[in-house]
Amino acid sequence: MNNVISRLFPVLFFSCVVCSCARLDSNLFNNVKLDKYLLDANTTAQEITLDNSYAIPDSLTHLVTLSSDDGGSKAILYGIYLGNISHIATDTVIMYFHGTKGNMDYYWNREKLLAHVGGKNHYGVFMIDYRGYGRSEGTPTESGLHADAAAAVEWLKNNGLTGNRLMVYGFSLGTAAATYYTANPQTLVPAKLILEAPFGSASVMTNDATLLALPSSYFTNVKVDNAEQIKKITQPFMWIHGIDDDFLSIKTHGELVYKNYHGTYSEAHRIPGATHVNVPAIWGLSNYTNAVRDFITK
Amino acid sequence: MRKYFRSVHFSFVVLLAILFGSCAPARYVRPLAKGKTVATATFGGPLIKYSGMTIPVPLLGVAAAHGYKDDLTGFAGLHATSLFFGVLQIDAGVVKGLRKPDRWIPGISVSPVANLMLDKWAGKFSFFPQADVNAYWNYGKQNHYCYIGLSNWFDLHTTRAEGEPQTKHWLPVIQAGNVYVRKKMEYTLELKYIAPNYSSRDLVVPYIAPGQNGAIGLYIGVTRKF
Repeated sequence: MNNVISRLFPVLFFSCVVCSCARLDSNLFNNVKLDKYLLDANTTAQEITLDNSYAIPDSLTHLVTLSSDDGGSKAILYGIYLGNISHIATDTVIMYFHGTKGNMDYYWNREKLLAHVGGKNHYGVFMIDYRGYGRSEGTPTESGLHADAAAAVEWLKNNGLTGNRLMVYGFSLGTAAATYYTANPQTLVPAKLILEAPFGSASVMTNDATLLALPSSYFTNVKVDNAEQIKKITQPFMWIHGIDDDFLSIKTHGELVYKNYHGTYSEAHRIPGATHVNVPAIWGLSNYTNAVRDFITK
Repeated sequence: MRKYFRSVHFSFVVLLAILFGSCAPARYVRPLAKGKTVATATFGGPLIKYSGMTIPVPLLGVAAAHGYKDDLTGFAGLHATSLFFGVLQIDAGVVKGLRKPDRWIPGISVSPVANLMLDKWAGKFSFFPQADVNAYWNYGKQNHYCYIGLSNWFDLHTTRAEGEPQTKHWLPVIQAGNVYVRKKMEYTLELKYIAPNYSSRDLVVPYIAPGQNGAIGLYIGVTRKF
């Protein structure tokens, strides 16, 4: 019996090694599917609260669909455009890539806030749910995230936007979409890039959590390598990060991304007392919108 | 804010915690008698907050040891949870008894260990040397023992992610445990304070630790004597 076990053990052991395939890739995404967007009727907690003065007229709130193709993996995505779609051909537009949590309902107030940069509905703002989020089809993946970002920009282009009027804004997970697209533009080359609470990379997350210089490949195939992608970007860059960010450390993530930017112009906003999710609220809503406006108009 | 990711991403937290400092209790503290062989299964890890509860990260490992001399035991361990994720993580070392306990004067042992990791995804290899020193006291007719000790992980890398300097080269782990000895079995309960010299604030993993430094770990072990 012992002899059988001793002979089987190496086979079983190496079978385990070969067959083991658990990965953390999907855990990057905290998506919630929906049958219907509630927007202002959504009563669950959001990152920031806005009073009625931030309401957007229904006539300027457009739920749209677009198609995204990630190497043959196609998905219909949902997006919300705030502004007059027929004016995209002349307006400046903020392309907002939201974070990992939930869906567009969760980030609705953030999109409305950005629709007040420079005054109510001064700029158009476009936000999408990545595949697997909200009503968007499919399952989230890193490559799908990038494909969806490109599809969103293509939708704007098809509605008349040009690159010189495209401002790309990413928050948290959305910084991966924003940075990657700006570094590897497809249909339009963005004019400027804004990153709020960016990832450094999956490797930085791994090293932070374990304290050891371990390869991220031990845990995940996801890269979200903003620290590397930002090196390719030359457009003006605005970085915003809460000093007390308790998820993506400003020191190991944000400062690294900011340091690796070598483009034409950059500005940093380190917000005292702000954590990962509440920068606009802690900074002050008008301070926040004014800073974004000043960067866009600079 | 950690709820932002934590509530639905338990496995993410777990896996990032796997190799934090040490993911197993002290392998063997008291040297085995010459010719004796044992096999051990361990369970537990750093304490984290999860769904309002404090729980140890459920890490599983197995190990075996053999007494080559009365004061020299060799051992090797396999980290089963890592294996499940495609990472071959093993540790191997020896326990050298420097002195035997004498009533209230503890026995002293030291244990150099090599921690080796290799993933099947990118073929990345890692090596972390470790050196432990433990003091232990025997008690009772069954020769149970309790111990306290200091485990030291060393990170020899000069750079970490994205080419940034690696400044954390020494991860000390303070440990205390008890081994309840039966004729054929031994049962270990151990508490660790992992890396108290480093802040665990602002990390993905919501470790439990005093003053948000390091992490507290809780481990159990079951040993079969042959």
